[in-house]
Amino acid sequence: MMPRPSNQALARTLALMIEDGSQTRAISEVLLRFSPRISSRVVEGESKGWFFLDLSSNVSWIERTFGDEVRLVEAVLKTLGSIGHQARIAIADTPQAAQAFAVQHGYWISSPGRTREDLDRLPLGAMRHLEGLIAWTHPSRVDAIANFFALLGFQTLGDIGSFNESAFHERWGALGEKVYLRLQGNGTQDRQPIAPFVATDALKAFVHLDYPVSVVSLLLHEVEVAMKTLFARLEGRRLVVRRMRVCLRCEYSNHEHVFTIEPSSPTREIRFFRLLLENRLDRVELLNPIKDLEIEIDPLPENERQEGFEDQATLDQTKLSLLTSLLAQEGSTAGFATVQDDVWPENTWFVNPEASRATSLQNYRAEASGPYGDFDETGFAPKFEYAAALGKAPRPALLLRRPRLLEAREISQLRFYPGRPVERIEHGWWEGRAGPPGSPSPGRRRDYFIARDLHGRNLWIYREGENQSGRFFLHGAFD
Amino acid sequence: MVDAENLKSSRGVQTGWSALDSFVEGGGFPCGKISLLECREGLGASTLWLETAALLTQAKHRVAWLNSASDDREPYQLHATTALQRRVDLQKLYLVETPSQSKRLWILQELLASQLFSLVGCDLGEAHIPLRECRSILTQARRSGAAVVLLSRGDPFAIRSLASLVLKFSSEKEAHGIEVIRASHRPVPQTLQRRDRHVDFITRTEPHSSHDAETFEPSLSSNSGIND
Repeated sequence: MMPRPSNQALARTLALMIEDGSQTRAISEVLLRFSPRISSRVVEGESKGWFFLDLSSNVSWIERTFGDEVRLVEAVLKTLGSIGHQARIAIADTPQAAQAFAVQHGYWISSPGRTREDLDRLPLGAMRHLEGLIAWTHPSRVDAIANFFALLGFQTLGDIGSFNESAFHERWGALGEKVYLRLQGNGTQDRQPIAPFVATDALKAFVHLDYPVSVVSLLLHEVEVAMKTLFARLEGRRLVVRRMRVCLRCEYSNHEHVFTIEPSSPTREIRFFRLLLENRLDRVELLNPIKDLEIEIDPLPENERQEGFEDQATLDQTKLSLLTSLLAQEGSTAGFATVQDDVWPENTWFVNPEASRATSLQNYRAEASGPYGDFDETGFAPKFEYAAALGKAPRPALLLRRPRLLEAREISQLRFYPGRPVERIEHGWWEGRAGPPGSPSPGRRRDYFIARDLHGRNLWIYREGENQSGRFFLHGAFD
Repeated sequence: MVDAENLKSSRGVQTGWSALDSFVEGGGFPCGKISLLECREGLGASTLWLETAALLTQAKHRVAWLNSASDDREPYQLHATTALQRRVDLQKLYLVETPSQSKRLWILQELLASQLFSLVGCDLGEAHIPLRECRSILTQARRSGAAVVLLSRGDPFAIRSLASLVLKFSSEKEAHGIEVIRASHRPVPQTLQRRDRHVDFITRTEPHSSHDAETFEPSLSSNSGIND
């Protein structure tokens, strides 16, 4: 458990420094998942960026989610690592002290209320890093103060603790007073409040490739790197992707390949989008090497849900929806089988992409086992004995997608078990309508037989038409 | 090294065919591994899968079946009505139809990667699967812990080399002989007899040529039981 800070040290600040400070707003968005109050600044004349997160506004959330500040720091570093950034990091009671610890140690967590003691052990040179949100206007003057004390033989910040505020003010004026206040490490007299960070930037990424790429795997790598940052920003902003648009611009021709990926249920699974893009790219011939790429995300707010209370069934359902959507976008049909009323065996079920609409065994039995018939608005609809027995009629485990016309040679090799059909199916004649599209002879009679071929295979075969000379079709196998 | 308390035994998915379940270590199709059923269509391989699926779905487990691709020579698909007859709960049977053979292995890996299914079946048709792809499937199977059952009508030598259980289906007059080509820690080859369970009335009469006109009243009663 994270130790609860005392009343005097309620403020806790996480400071981190990233070498590449060019994307301060994007990184701030990524860090939103740890705290809503974030402030950042770029070091003048250098490319470094400083980020300060106020942890005091969500202490209980941090306790519940991470357990302690060590795990929080690890999570922050892991998140930054996933988007290719390394950071120096520290937690202290004030932003100024946190910055000094981060610079001096690289990784430091100061216990609540003990910041002053930790500061006292820092060398005098750390004085210029006691900045926090507000940088020194003239750092060289702060260095001069440190040098002055060094000349007097002092070595650490703790060594100069015996000097009071008026002594600092008398020698160095307002700057000396500010240095003194920041050395106290409690922030009560030199407060630096961190305001909430409002993310308003468009969710876009643009990558210019120094060396134009035509190899799909390399291209995907570049896309993935850009996507990782975008998706981390989405996570920080608690958004999910409704639609992603990827535009690849060719060298020489400036031709644009545009891919739009829209999952059926909005998600933030980067692997899902990468796979879909990879499969799309497989089908496209790139005219020229790609010189730059652009990714644009159309987001949706994440559903509010209580963490830890989502049951496994809901998670599985989400996974299933994603899987179905993924396969559908690749041209495959997937889902749970749903039984439907139809005379033709090949139409008695369909693959239902909406998982919840699957027919249960119990429902099917109830439908098939009615005693005599049903009343509805059109009157009494009798249930024929045939329909009742249909549930027990022999049906093959495998069915051909389209019945195949058998050649005379194949028919001569078959041995039919019963000498007459085991089942007769007729359709359409009473309504004057045709059979299903794609059936070999719509609306006609089928006499089904079970036959065994020379290999011992049990096959489901029908003879089409109303006379003995009808053509034979292979329809299924009792596999 | 593990303690005696932490020793684990092989797990398998019960097929319901007692002869096979008692013969195979783990009591059925091995979990996290590949089982290969070599047979032509019409010899009972998919029925064995359906019976396994029936037991699993009744125990509230999900199963997935990947049909042969539309561009296969004879594209068969699992008949869902038959699955229902075999007591498979359709709410737990996830079916996938793919238009192209080239997508099949990718889909299979996605099904396994989702870790949603206890049993995954795939009709490979006559397709040849490269060894590299087989290894990927095996890796995914290990991660997911699902029993992967592949049905092949060709010569799947690459899969055969990686499968933990290999069954070869053949046909005799009244029974299907199933030869166990490979099974962990068991003497193989071993032939297990399995009654033709699709249509019992088939075996009650002698075969007739297509031009015979004998009368025969089929019995439609006992085609769903397990008759070992």
